[in-house]
Amino acid sequence: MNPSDISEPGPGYFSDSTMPDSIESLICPGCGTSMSDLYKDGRMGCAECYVTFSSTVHRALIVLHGAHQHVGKTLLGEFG
Amino acid sequence: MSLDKKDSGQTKLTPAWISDQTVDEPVILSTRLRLARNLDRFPFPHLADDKTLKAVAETVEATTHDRRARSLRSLTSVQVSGLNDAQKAALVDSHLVSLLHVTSGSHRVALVDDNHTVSIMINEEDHIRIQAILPGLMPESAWHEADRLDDALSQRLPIAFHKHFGYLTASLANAGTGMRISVMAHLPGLVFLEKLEATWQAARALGTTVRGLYGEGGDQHGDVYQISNSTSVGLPEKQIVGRMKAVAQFLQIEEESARHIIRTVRMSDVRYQVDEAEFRLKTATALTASEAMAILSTLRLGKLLGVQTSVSHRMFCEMLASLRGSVGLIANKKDRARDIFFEDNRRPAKLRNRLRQERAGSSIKTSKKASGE
Repeated sequence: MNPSDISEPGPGYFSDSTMPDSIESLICPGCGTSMSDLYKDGRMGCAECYVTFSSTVHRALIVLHGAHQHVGKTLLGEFG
Repeated sequence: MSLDKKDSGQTKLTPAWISDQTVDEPVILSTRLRLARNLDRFPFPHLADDKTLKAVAETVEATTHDRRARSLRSLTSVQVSGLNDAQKAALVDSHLVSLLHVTSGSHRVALVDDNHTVSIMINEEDHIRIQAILPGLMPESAWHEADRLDDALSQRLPIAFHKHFGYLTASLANAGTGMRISVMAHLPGLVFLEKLEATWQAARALGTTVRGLYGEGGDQHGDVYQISNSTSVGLPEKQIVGRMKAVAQFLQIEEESARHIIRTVRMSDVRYQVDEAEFRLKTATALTASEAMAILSTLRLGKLLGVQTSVSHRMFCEMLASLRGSVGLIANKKDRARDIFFEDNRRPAKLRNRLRQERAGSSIKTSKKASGE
């Protein structure tokens, strides 16, 4: 088997045919990324996208990682 | 950091993962750990305009001037976008920066230490990619090095973080810890016995992903594979590090047992393949990086199993980092065919010369030993 065959999932992990129209029409106020941009590109546009599309992110993380809750390191210092 | 130019005009780099090898016959050539971080309130690099990329680069670079941050102050800034293709290839082949970083356009900066052990890529897929790369299997040390830089940066920069999702990255594949730990493994014995498929199945079950040498879509060269963690959410960093160590140790045992089987029952086949590889090298006028590394891997396997060849571990790693396998992936469309042609044609002589040096070195060592020096 070619190892490059075993790669990360593509943007398909955002797809959800049962998604309500209200979520479908969401646009991130931080960078203008829409739900259809997420479907196409598979990447978040900015930090605020995580809040804007939180329910979708939640589902996608479970598909990708089998978990959605971060349990590792947290921020240090005045910005933390 | 200086990129030394040899007489031939070629750029030479010897990072610590090559020069500081401490184990004689390691299966794991290097351990690399990357932490993906972004700045709050800036769009991620793929959506950022030129002005934003410049502002991000300047903001992150400025931390290296902070007198209180010793770990950051020791880094040297390299304007990656300003390098020529040969210099970019040297950085990529030495695994100091990624292929994506050198091919992404302007305001791409790398902060690198003098030993070439740690680096920070600015404006790669994320604003910040902290990297530590060490020789052999050293996952805990790689984590320690990267974590130290991460602490220094996060005390000085507004890092994008969410209490539920963790570090906010452009790709959800890196969210949570933002951590990707990978080992580069040389597995000629498993390839020889055609046992890789079963090994990958076990490695996948342990939560890892196998990639080519230059990341997704890249070819693998000389039976060298890159194995990384496939999940970054739901586990703390130290547990991810521990899992990768376990997978790497499993690969080591599998490869060593494959070599033992070959030594017991397949040595005549190995000798035949070594002869064939030596003949191919002697007569070749051009070699792709893949062909050159396949020859070296066969000669290296021969040496590991007691056949007289001159491919030491150090030489194998040096060649891996200097055969310019990434040139065809870096050069622009116009120059690509010319650059590939040039590199393919100079590889046979480069390899033959390096083998000659290696033989001369070992005969000096042998005569010193004989005279009791």
